[in-house]
Amino acid sequence: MAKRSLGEFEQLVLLAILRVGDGAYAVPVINEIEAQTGRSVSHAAVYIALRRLEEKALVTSRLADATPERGGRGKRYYDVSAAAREMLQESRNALTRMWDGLELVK
Amino acid sequence: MSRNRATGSHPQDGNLPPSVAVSLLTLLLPRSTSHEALGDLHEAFSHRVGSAGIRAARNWYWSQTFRFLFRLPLEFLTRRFRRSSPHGGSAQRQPPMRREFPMKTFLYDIKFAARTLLKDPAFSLISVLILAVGIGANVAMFSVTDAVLIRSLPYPEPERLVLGRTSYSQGLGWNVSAPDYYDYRDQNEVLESLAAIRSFSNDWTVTGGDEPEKVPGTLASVDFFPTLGVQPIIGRQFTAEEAEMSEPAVALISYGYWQRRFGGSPDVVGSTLVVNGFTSTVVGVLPAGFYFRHPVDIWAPMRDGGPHTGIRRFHNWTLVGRLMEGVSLVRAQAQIDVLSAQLQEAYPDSNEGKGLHLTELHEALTSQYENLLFLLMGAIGLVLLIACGNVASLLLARGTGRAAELSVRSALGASTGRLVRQLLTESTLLAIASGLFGVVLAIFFQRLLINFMPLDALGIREIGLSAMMLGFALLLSVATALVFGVVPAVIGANANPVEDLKGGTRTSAGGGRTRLRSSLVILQVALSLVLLIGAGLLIRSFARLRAVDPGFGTENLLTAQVDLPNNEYADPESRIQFFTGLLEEIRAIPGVLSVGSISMLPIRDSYSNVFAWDPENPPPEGTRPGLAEHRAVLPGYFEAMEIPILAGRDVENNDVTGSPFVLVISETMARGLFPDQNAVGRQVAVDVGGAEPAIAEVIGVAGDVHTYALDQEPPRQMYYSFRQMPYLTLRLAIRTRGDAAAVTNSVRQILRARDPNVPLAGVATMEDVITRSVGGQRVIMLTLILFSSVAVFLAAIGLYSVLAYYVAQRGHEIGIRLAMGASGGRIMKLVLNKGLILVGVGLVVGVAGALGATRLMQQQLFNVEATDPVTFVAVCGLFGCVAALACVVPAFRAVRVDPVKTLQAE
Repeated sequence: MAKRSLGEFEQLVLLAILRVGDGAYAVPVINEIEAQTGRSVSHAAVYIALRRLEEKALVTSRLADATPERGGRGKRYYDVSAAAREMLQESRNALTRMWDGLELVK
Repeated sequence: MSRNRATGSHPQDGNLPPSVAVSLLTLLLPRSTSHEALGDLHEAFSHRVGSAGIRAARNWYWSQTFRFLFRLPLEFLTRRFRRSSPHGGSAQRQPPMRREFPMKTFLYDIKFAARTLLKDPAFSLISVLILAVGIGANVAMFSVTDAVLIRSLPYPEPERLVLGRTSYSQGLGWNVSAPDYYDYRDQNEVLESLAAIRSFSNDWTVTGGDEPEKVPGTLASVDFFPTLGVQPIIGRQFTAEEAEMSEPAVALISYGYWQRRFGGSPDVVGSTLVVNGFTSTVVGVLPAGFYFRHPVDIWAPMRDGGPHTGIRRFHNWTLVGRLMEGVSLVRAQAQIDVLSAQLQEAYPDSNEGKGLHLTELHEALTSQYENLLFLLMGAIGLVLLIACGNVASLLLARGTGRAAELSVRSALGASTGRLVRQLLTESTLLAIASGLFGVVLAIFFQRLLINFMPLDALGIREIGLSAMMLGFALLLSVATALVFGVVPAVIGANANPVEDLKGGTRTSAGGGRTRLRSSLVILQVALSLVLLIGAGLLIRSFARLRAVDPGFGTENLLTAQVDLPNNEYADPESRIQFFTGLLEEIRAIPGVLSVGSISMLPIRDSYSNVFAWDPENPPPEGTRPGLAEHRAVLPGYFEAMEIPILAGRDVENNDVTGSPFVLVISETMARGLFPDQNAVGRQVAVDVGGAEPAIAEVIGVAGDVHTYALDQEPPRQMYYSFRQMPYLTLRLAIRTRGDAAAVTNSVRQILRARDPNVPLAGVATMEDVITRSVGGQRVIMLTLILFSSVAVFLAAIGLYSVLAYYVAQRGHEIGIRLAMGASGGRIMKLVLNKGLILVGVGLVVGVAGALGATRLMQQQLFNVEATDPVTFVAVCGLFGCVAALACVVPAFRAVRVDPVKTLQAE
């Protein structure tokens, strides 16, 4: 089986979960991506990415209690699995190697 | 949870996300995760409300919803595809080839179909447009029907709500008397609560602002809103004590009035309103969209001993009850019947033969629309069928052009089933595209229909998108695809490769196809004729309705209403002086010919009747005397209204309190009470509420007037002298020389000069009043005219395309005939004959269909038989003209065929 690699958006989502840390759920994850990349991210995209990542066992999740500001609905917290951390690191190393010695914009 | 369906996405929802979007998402998202996804959206939405405002937040929520709408189906499809593909990376054993095959070909079919359709954009666009109009109109109609007939009322546990109506031996009356109400309320053991609301709303005068204003108000028992399960959004309900006369006056106000008068201020509770001269305190605001039978802005409590509560014979209240948990309607009715029997025994004078009939509230409110809605549903369904016929015809014509392609594929080994599937996929794709577009159109149509249809009793002003509606659209699209797609697909797929590949341009094949298209045209002609006849009948009925003589002159007549506040005009003499002086001044306005004044104008105002009989010939024991409409007039009313005095005299200025009680009665009443006798000088007993009837002397007989509506017979009618019955409210009827509306300002100025606290309300010309009174019938007529025009247009296109195709196909033959010296006339006749046969057969089938179908609409017709021969003949003639036009164009084309070119092309 070919080695799997992560898509760009998947990486953004995973990194955002790591940056938010404990208690990362969709809303702060989206806010983090928007804050750091400056692009607007739709709930649908993040929702689908998280579902895929979870199916590939790259994130784990657990349900938490409802709060009134959520219209009384629960939230789902996400954690990045060890395998995903490894893949993220690999992807970063690969990019770093590829960038080594290049300068595109002065 | 009593979300009011009428409010849809009203600002009342405050800081909640748009409910339509939420329900869409709930529908779409997988059950396992929809909870948290909606929660996330809700949270982000709340933040956004804080940072960017409610409007921006709502827009944002919608845009997020659309992204879900777009991405989730894609995700679902790719997931399905990946799972079934052998390279899906799953560790399980590969699924057998067989299972994977259909999915792949299915996707292939879709891709191929999309490509084929895009290759012929004109065909695709026209088909999608035709179908989208059909589907959209049906979906809109369905959503209205759903909202009216199927969806439950917007109250908690609506199935326990019942409407109580008075039952007599002659039938049902909506109204119940207050003493009866109190007895039923206090003695029954089957209803959790029984509430009452005045059967009409009245225009109340509210003063204290810059200008006095008229506001629709009504009385409701203190438990009315709790019975329905409606909570004020601000403030409180009426308390039980507030049913006592001794308590200070209070009022609940509507959301709209709260916004208009108080700018939506939360401090409204405790503010005061001066209503009809009495100060009353606002205790609460009802939710936006709350509506019960009539538009009302102010509700005041029904009070024991208050107006309209004293007399058992006077029926002024509508009852709404809530069944106790576990009590069936049948059981409740049984107990109510026992109470009715007791009441009959206790009060034989007023309650003989009277009972209380319980009906489920929803059923009672909607039954009046059932017939109309089914009629329109049927009509719009026919339009879709015609549209299907058209597209099927287009597909068949197109199939001829594609015969070669299909033959090649068949020759290369594609099975017939495979080709049918391919073609059906194409039509399904077309239908789904139409369905999507149709839903967009449906939202537009829906708004049109709601503005159009008289759905007053339910207060439906907005329906919006529902899951039900989307489901119906999908179902309809697929059904449509099958209806218009199957036959062309089967015919197309059964092409004969040998014949088709061999036969160059001269396609003699497709005879079956042509026959099929011909039958489709016949079907379209027949169906659209049915619709057109329906519309024709309604036009005729409407014309008859408008031709009804209301019994008074309607031209150049201005009507308006003047209500005096009770506190300042408590003395009846002051009212008489006010009104006679007012009339005097109005009479002096240049351009005013005459002025009349009456407590309630015909057609324009509600009605009110009491028992009246001939005291020398009283009704036999145990039977009820007849009812008569009663009004009070000042002298000059009959002259201004141009109602003839047939015998005797008009009321006069000396018919005052203290002098004999006088009556002018209508011709129908005179004939009813005193058949074949002179009514003038006779006596009439009038039940004015006391223990004994008032005895009045008939001084005149006036012409009959259609008091209620043009389509209702003139009732028995009697007129008091206003000086003997000085009400607080009078309506003006001002006859002018020219445009009636032109004197409005002068009248207003005169009134303001006399008393700035008395508003001039409800100013309208009598012609407008009458036009409005037949608005419902007009709308139904216009709707059916619209539907049938679309249908006829589609049928004409169908006819045209079949004939044009016929000419194109026979070009070769026509060319030879022309070359051999046939005249243009003969060729035209050939084509026209072909067309006229189609139309003729279609008309015969259509007339037969219409004879059956129009019977269903008899209820909507006024003075016209559903089988009215004049309409049938006229409509067939009209249709013949349209059809002839559709035939003539291709016929001319045939004549212009150039024999040399046609033959050279071989």
